[in-house]
Amino acid sequence: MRRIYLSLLIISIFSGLLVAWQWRSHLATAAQTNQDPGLIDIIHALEKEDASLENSIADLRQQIDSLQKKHSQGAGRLTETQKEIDNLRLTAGLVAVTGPGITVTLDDNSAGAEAAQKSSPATYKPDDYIIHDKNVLYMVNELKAAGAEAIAVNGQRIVANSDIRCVGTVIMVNSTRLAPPYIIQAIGNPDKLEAAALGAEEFVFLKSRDFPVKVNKNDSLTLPAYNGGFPLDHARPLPTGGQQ
Amino acid sequence: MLKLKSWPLSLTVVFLVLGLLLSLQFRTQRLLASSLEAQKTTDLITMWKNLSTKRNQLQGEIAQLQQQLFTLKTNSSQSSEAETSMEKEMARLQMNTGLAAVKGPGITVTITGDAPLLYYDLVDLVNELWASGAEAIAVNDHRISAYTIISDQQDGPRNYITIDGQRLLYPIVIKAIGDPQTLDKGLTFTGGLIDNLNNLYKIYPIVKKEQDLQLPATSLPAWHYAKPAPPPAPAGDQNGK
Repeated sequence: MRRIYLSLLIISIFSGLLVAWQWRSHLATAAQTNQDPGLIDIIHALEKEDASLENSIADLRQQIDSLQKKHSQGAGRLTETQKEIDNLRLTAGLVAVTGPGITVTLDDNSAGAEAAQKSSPATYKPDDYIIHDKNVLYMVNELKAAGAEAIAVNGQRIVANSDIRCVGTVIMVNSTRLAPPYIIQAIGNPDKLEAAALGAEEFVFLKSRDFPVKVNKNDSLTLPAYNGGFPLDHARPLPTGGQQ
Repeated sequence: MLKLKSWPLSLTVVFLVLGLLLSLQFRTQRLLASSLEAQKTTDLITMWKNLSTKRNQLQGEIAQLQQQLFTLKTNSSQSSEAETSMEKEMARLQMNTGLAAVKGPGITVTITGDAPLLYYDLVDLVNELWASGAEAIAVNDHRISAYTIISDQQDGPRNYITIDGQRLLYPIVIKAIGDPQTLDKGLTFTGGLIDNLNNLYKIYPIVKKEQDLQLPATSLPAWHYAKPAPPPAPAGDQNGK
């Protein structure tokens, strides 16, 4: 009988410790549990809706494109306009493109996080081990500076009005939620892009912190078209006279 | 009361609870920092708002595209309406890409050179303006396109910011066209970008709402590497999302 009490005591102590551990890790990682599962459902629903709207946009753009081509074929003046529109769509990011380039992969430092959690749980900061929006934003900026002609992050094409930001610890590009690893693809001169990526402050910093980050050159990449909108509710064309 | 026989039962229960606790612990530990479940309620609400804004934008784009498609469908090839519709699209694309000068309401953000602004800060500001719904942005007189290069160059002990290789002089004036109220709020909310610049770097940008801004056009670089991708495989071969 005594032995049972003893083992029960041990078990109780053990479970007490577990509860304490659980509670502590709870605090350390801020609001790990979410009080409102309804909110998450709403977000999922909206994401689905936005994705299907984007599909419709892609579809509509394709229909318009083929109808326009039919109309303008052999119609002299219209053929010129059509050419210009095709060019504009290409530079605007509305067309999937292919070409040589590089792939930059930025991933969370999960191994480092695990080790730190074990060795010094009191000073462990989860934020130090994840990729942040700025890491992605500045990397994209350096690739632009190195002459990238087209860039996509996890399949989200970067266009003129693209934004890269975080909400909580989630990175969003074009207001679409991304998850690690963050794969940045850029079409352009592979050597120039590679040098820029490897030399980027962000990359050097992450590397020094043992983040699993890497740069690969590619002979042929294909980046998807941008399927979002370009809001134009306030901007109007400024009539440009011949003279200043 | 307690019979010896009931011990195994209670032990089982205790171990069950222990096991549950352990697995719960590991589940918590393994939760991805980027998962929705790991986010604070306030962040989830922000996300919800962003997604709703995006939905409205997408719906607007769809309405406009449907209109365009309708015009194309109901008019014969030689009609002037098909032509007008194409010219309209061209004008829109030129504004989107920065190839056309634009005007409209918005805000200006003025930064005097009292404290050193890094080019990263400028990248942040431009990014935040796009995130707040800006339709067109210019910094001093450089219109920002998808290909604008914001960088810096060393000049003795100090670095100066460059845009497309040209030195940026103070005061730096960022003009953004869009809803002035929304743009202003996007920058100046507590804990926002301007707040951070104030507190961390003693940089005090002045944000002003404007009714009539004029932004110049820019030119775009020619491509040497990217080509239009061959059209996607027929619908039957595509994997649904």
